[in-house]
Amino acid sequence: MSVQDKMTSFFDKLAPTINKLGNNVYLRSISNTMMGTIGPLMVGSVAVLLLAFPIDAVKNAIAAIGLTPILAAVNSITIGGLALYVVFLMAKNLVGMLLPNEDGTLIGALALMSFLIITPLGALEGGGNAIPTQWLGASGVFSAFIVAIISAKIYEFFVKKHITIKMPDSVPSVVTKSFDSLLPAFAIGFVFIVIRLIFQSTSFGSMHQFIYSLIQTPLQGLGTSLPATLVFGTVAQLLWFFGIHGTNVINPLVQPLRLALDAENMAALAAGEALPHIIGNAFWSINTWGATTLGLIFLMLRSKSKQYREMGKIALVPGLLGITEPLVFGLPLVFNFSFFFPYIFNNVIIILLSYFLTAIGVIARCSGVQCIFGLPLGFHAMVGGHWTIVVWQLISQLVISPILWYPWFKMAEKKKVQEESEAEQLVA
Amino acid sequence: MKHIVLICAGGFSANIMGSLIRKTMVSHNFDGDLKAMSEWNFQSYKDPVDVILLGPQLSFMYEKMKEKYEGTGTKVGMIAMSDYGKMDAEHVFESILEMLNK
Repeated sequence: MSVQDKMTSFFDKLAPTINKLGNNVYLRSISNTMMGTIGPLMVGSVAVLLLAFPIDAVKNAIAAIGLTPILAAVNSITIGGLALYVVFLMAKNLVGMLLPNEDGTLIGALALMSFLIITPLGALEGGGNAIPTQWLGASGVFSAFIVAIISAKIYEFFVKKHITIKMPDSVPSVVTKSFDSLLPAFAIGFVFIVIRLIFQSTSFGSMHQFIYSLIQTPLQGLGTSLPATLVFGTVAQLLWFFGIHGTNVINPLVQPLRLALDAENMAALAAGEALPHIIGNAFWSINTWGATTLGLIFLMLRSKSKQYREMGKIALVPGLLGITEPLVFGLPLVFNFSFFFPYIFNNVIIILLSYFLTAIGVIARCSGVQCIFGLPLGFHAMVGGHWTIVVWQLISQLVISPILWYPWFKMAEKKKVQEESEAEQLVA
Repeated sequence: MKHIVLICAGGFSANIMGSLIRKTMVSHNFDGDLKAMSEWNFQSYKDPVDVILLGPQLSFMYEKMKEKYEGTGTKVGMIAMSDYGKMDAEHVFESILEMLNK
């Protein structure tokens, strides 16, 4: 068996696992939840960008009209309130998938209630209570996912087991029904009151602190480290090689971790502090843009092979917008062993270079503002918040990428041109 | 009037493909419409659908989708890789007709 056959049969064995991963209700709920937070995140991002505007005149003008404290407040309840949106959306999305006939909005509200039940209240100087923002942002995101899943599972249990209160027949059914719908609410509330009570008596003080120290911090350290990022980058491209939207399958596993880091960067930016992280979701998006295929498209446009030139023309405009499908399926790059190496590893090389250049200070750290997919090359990187990031995206895609593809392209082109001339001779 | 929905992961490539197929539909006087959207948007899509077409990058969802629509009259199909890559709207249109006639 050749290496190629071996790889293909290995993938066939792996396919059911990938299908399961891609269709897993929890992972899909996470993915939908992260997409659902885009609205508040974007509003918050604009507030941060205005707060930390690179031109002083603009910054001063914003301060002069009294906008600064308002923008800071908007930042605190959007990016700084990320966990609140996550807990609601996650519970709603998960119930929507676990129970196809339910829309999940009510359980979203219950999950939010539960999240706030386990959030210790603070006291204001001069009387009155306040919810501290400490756990509402990036630090509470994992807690939010867990609270949402517990709430949704309790609700599912009640619905699937048809747990209801037996009432005498004389009680009108309307009354019985409203009691039934309240049962899961009370059960969920009760569970989280107990959880709060338990954690209050431990040295952690709250479930948030417990999850943050024991789960979120280690996972974040592990999942967003440079080696892990390189591994995820390779796996995502391997899936693409087999024709599967690798980014979509991998994202729910790591995107929440990366987004939490971006949220911390944005919070630092808004506070005028140094940005703590190099790797985040924005860093990932900017560096894996288009999987470097634009470089290959440029090579193809000037190819000696007619077929390659045609393909290059079809792929160019989508390619400039970061849309790779025409090339991936048309050339194709899928199952094409001539381009296996660059297609799998170019992303990883770009990530490595970018990480190194950022670490030594040549490229600025990403602001944490999320990229909008579909913006043309260069514009896509502007949310990075610094011109060096934009220049890096241009250089990596327009200069480095064609170089990385070149040797493989030349080999494939030679074969293609030969095939084409043979075909012509046959026709003649 | 037949309703076709074309789904890809982010809705971007489906949109390019979709606008080409729509043109083909017009030139063949096909009585129907086609909407292109992301898989995420499709989850909350409630309008009637006669044919659901998946982009090849969503192949991992094909079996699940087929199961879900089994016996509902809605046909589920996958666009062939080369058709999708070369944006061969004519060929995809032919397969839509085939699915409708089955």
